[in-house]
Amino acid sequence: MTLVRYIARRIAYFIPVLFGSIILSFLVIRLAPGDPVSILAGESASLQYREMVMHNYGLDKPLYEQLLIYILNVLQGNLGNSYVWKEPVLNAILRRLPATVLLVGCGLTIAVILGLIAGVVSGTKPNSLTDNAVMSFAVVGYSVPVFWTAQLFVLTLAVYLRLFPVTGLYSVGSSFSFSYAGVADVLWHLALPVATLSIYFMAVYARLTRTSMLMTMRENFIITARAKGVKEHDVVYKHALRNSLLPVVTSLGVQFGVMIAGVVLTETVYAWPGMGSLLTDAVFYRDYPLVTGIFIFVTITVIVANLVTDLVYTILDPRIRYD
Amino acid sequence: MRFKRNHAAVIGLVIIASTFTLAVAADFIAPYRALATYVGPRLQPPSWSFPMGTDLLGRDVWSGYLYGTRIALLVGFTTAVASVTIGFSVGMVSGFVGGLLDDVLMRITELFMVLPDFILAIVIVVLYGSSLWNVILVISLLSWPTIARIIRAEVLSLKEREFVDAAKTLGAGKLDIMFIELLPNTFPLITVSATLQISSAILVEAGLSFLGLSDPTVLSWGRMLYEAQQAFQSGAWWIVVFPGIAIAITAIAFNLMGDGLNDALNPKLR
Repeated sequence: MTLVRYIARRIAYFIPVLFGSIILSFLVIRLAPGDPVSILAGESASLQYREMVMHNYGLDKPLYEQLLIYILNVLQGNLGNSYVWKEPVLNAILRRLPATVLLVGCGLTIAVILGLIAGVVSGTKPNSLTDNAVMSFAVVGYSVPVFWTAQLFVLTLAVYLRLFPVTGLYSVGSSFSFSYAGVADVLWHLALPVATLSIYFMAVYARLTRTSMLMTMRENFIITARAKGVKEHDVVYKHALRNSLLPVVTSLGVQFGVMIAGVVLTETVYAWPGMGSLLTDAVFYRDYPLVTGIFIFVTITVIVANLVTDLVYTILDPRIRYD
Repeated sequence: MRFKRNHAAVIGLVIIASTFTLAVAADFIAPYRALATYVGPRLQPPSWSFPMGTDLLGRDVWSGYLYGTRIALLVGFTTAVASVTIGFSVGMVSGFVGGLLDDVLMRITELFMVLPDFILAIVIVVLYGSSLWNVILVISLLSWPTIARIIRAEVLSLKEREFVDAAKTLGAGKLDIMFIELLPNTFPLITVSATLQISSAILVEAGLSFLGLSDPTVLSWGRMLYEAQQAFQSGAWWIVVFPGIAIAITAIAFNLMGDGLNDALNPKLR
């Protein structure tokens, strides 16, 4: 089928998943023990606030009407009000989002680049010493809890060696400026969190790339390339790698959801002022609207990311379109 | 056996066996009960009387490690059993029966795979309470879809094989085929999935505990790290290193064993 029809189909799949997750989130909140008004308004809310909440969420109306109100609210960006920060949930999230994007962006870039290289090196020499060493590091990398690695980094590099700051986005007392000093300060604070976050994903990508390379290197076109006299270096990097990249790209989208867990935990340890630590704080203060609001926000982001990855995949792999 | 030749996997098995032994023998080996506070001065580095030091509340970290093995293994095994049972049933029925049922079940599993598991786990535990059983339930709930898809894929390929036709010719009904013919052939896949599932469950439980979402009446390694978060910046490395190593080694052990089992049992990789 044509590209346009394929894209239309993928978008058509996306819509029920989107609604499914909004409905699921609604059910999870409503089925929780306790009184919904207290959950949404906070334990110690005044009577007027409780009445306002009841009216906004339509808690005095039948369940299906509440669901409709909820869906409409979410689609309009109204995720409720955080009773700790005293502002709409979406505002709180958007305020903290840039720090998270910075962290994840840097972490992912490093992880993908280093992971790919490690995977290629490993995959082109299967069962060699290099391969075993790299794969051992990989197993350790994704088995170790990410918040523990974070704590270890803080202990060794920040507390004992005093090489890096312990927490935060920038040094206490200063505000951010785009000067060299400002950017350098942020980068200095960024180093440890990024290192922590990328270890896990580096391990995953290394393994994935290795498996993918192992399978690609057995294909006929590689034998042809070698027979043609193509240099081994080009065989690996120009021919094999390009074809092995496809599973890695697809997995990037799927990994998004897993990544969120790592981000939440890492940000908590480093007190990095992003969305992850916002969630931890919200949990600590039992700020239910913020907790559920972050969940919906992240879910929708992940679903969109999956959709984008799917579409990128079709562009990269022409075989899919002509099925 | 191929498994024995895989040194890493054997190491994994040895670690798991020792952890199991420690868990069972904890009552006899541990000098103090798990949550007993102020048995020694607070935040003491490792010494002869406290081999792994004491934490913020004066608890013996070594005893904490020993009793933590029980929680880790309990959570790991129960979630593995639960999620594999549900996942296998759904995957088997879905793959074998096919049709509308298959479509609906696959849509549901897709939904679960897209949702951010960890955040959903956080939301559920925050709203429904952080008892140990809630945590086990939530982890099982979020793990079965992946297993269902794996089993279904295997069933889809198995059901085209001749032995299924042979069974049908001999008069076997659908249930017979599913449980007598197909189930034994999926054993390798089930074992590998269950083992890897244990490792993942231990890590998720540790993550939830680290955020404070664990049962306060139960001592798990993750919770020890949660409490350590407030105290370690003064340099008390022993409250971070020891529980963390426990989690890491146990998770690695199950991963190594799962990988080893996969290498040994998975016919496609030979």
